[in-house]
Amino acid sequence: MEAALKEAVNKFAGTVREEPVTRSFFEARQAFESNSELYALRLEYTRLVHELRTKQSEGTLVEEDVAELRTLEHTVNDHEVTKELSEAQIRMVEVLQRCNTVISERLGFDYASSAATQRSCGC
Amino acid sequence: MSDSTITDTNAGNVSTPTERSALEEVAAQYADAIAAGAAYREYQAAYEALQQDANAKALFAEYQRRSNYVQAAGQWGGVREQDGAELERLEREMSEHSTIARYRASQTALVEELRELNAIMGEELGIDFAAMVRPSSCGCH
Repeated sequence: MEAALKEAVNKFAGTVREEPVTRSFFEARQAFESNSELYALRLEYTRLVHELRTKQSEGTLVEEDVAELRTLEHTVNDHEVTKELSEAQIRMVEVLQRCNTVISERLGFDYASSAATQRSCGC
Repeated sequence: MSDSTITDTNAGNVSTPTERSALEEVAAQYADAIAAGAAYREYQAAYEALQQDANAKALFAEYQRRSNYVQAAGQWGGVREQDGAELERLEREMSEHSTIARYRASQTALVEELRELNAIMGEELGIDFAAMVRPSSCGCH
């Protein structure tokens, strides 16, 4: 890769990292990951998903099982720390999308769509 | 979009400068660096060559039309054997067409470079910039 290009991407990444919205996002993500209550809920959610898949393949899945999973999902999503992470991510993505617009206008195509390798959201 | 193609190929337009944040200025400098690179310049030259080649443009358009049709028909199970064969014929013809082959090769090279750049950003930032901001982002959390 050309040196000027590598320098430019490093500068861009460094500037993004120092943006207040990015710092807030990382703080919120750290709070989310280190919250013991949420950690326990997420472990329980993973265990329940696995259990429901087994039940589904055995044909023993009932409505109550799905309702239990949904309740757990809502508990995680409605948790204050999760909400703060969601809001921080929305604010950061808005700023980064404006950067993507600037880059895309210059290049003549959507930069992010071409540079992305995976189908998931990457968060 | 397939794995190594670029959509909306109106390459190299520079919009009227508007008021930008410091971060957006750095993003613009980053875009300028990409545009000055060999991969982008070759892509742009290949795109312009394609625009000048009426035969290549017609073949490319026919392939895209047929490809879209086969894709749509595939969703309801309506792809006929001759549709697939026609698509294969057009694909062969395109791969043998020097202008189109150059254009496709330039796209592949540019996409590879952009993905490499995004990987560098990912290592620096701990997030996948492109996956997070592209239009089809899932919006989880």
